[in-house]
Amino acid sequence: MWTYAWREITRRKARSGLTILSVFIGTALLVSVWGVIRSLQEGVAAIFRESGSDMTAQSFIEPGPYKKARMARHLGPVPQSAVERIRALSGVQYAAGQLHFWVWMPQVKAMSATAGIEPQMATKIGPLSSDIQLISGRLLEPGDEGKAVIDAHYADKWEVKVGDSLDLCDQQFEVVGIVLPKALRAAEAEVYIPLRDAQVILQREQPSLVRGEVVNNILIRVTDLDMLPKLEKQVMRIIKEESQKTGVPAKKVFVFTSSKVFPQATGISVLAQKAAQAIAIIVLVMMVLIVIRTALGSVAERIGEIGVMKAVGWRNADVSKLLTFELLLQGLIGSVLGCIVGELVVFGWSKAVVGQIPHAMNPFPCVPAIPMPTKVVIPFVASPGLVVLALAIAVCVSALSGLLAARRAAALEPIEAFRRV
Amino acid sequence: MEKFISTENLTKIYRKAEEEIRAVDGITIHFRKGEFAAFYGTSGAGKSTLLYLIGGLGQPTEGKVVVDGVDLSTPDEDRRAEFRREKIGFIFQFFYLLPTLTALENVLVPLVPLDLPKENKVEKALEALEKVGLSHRRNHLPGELSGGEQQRAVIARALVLEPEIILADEPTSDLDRKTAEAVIALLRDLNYQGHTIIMATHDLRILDHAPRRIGMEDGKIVSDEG
Repeated sequence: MWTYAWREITRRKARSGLTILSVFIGTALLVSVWGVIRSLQEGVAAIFRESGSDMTAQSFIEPGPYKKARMARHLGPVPQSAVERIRALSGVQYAAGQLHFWVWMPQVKAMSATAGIEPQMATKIGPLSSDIQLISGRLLEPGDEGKAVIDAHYADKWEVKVGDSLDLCDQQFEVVGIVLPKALRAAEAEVYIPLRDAQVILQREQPSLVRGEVVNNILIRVTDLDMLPKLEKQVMRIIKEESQKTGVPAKKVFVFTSSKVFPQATGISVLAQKAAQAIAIIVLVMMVLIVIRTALGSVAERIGEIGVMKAVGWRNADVSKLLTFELLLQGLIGSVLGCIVGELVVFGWSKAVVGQIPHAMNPFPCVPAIPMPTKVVIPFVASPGLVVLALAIAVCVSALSGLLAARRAAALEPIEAFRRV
Repeated sequence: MEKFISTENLTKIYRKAEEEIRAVDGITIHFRKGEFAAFYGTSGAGKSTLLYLIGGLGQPTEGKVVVDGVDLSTPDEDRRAEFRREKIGFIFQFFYLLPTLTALENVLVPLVPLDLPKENKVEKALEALEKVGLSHRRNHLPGELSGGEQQRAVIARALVLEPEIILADEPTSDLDRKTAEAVIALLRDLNYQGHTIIMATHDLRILDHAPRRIGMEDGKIVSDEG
């Protein structure tokens, strides 16, 4: 049966080719469209995962004047009590407040991106909680005052080492650790200091904006990702309410999640994403129709041969087995090639495309010491599940076509077959 | 007379749109085991249809056909297929060899669904080819064989399961005189070996070789000699 099936496939090149091509295009499109979207999603999700968060929230205001230190970009103050309220929400695992600001460094005539962080939360959530490499020294610890942890690139560029003193707005900070991040993550900075110290600096430098204990970026990790949409609304409401207390009410509140950032980070709108998926599904449906049409056409073309098989004693089940086997073979060839090409497209795409997250997520000055951490490297995510699904669809379609063809062949009496020939 | 093959009021009507064609019209006929008979008549007389009905290749519209005690009028196509496999070998007018398979592989086709070791299947196919004198051409495709060789390959395919009955539909129609006589001689040999042979032909050159000759016209038997 194998010999006959294989010879039939190679003899009827046009018909077999059409079936194989249809399955190939359908599976390649399915694997590549979904694979590319998955890789992009993974690239964006990694930004949050690397900072141990699922969501970041910020208040936006008109930026303050440039002084020795100023709040980063358009970020506005939110009382630290907002963080406490968010922590108390059901479904929130961790929440931590940060204060991002830029500091003028007269000795090098540049601004540095500095972040005040809660030392007690540093290992749980935030840019220092991820899989970073501690080059030397240690991380910030609860009770630290006047201490700083700096990024390795920053340390290289300004030749700073552990034990050195860092001047931030005339306040001296001892460098206690140097870290090297392995991947892009949300809420990065060049210099990390205790939140309390950051609040003191900004209260002094921007008294009109920073009154009392405030933060301007809140990182949140949830216990269940399905709760994100609900929590997003609650977080927005809390920040709006709390920002009223600062005297600098939020003009806007932004909550970033990987799905919200996806269109901006990848340049692919939700509509385009859905359209690509819809086209892939339409092509898949066309593939099914073409394969079925070809299978039925094959029965009509081979009516005499099927008649002979039955005449020499093949039962309907034997003919059915042969036709199904032939189509399965063609389906497998097409789908395996389709999956390989689909994965290659995903690989090529991931190498060729670089995404970009909103600058507000990593509020760096225009000329930072370290490479601006907003470029999203798209990873190549092999999708064994998707490949298995594509193969399963192709096999099911082939089997279905084979069964339909077999049904038509079974309905044919040999006497009728010979008359038609 | 011992009835090995018998039909009763056998009728086959083909329907095409609103047109009805009575290809076989109420035929009752019997054949003995080991008989060599030939249906003859003009094209459209119903010879091939009658032959195919006797071989269980289709269900009659009316009447019945019984072969070796088995009623082949049953609508159960699989049962008829199994019976054909065990008892009947077919030789077709247009050969119907599968063009992508060699002569040997074509002869193997009836054996494919059988649960036998591959070596046994090949051995049987080679034996059948040997019987018709075509073993030296076993690896050739049908397109590389002459008309006579193709017909011999078809006969080998019909013989491979050692059937008791051989039904031949116009076995010599596309062959030259010499080749046609060789094919008929082969059929006579098979008949001597005990096979029951029934053929349909309009080739008067070979008709005399059949001891029993049955004339047909418009789906009916008009003469039965011998």
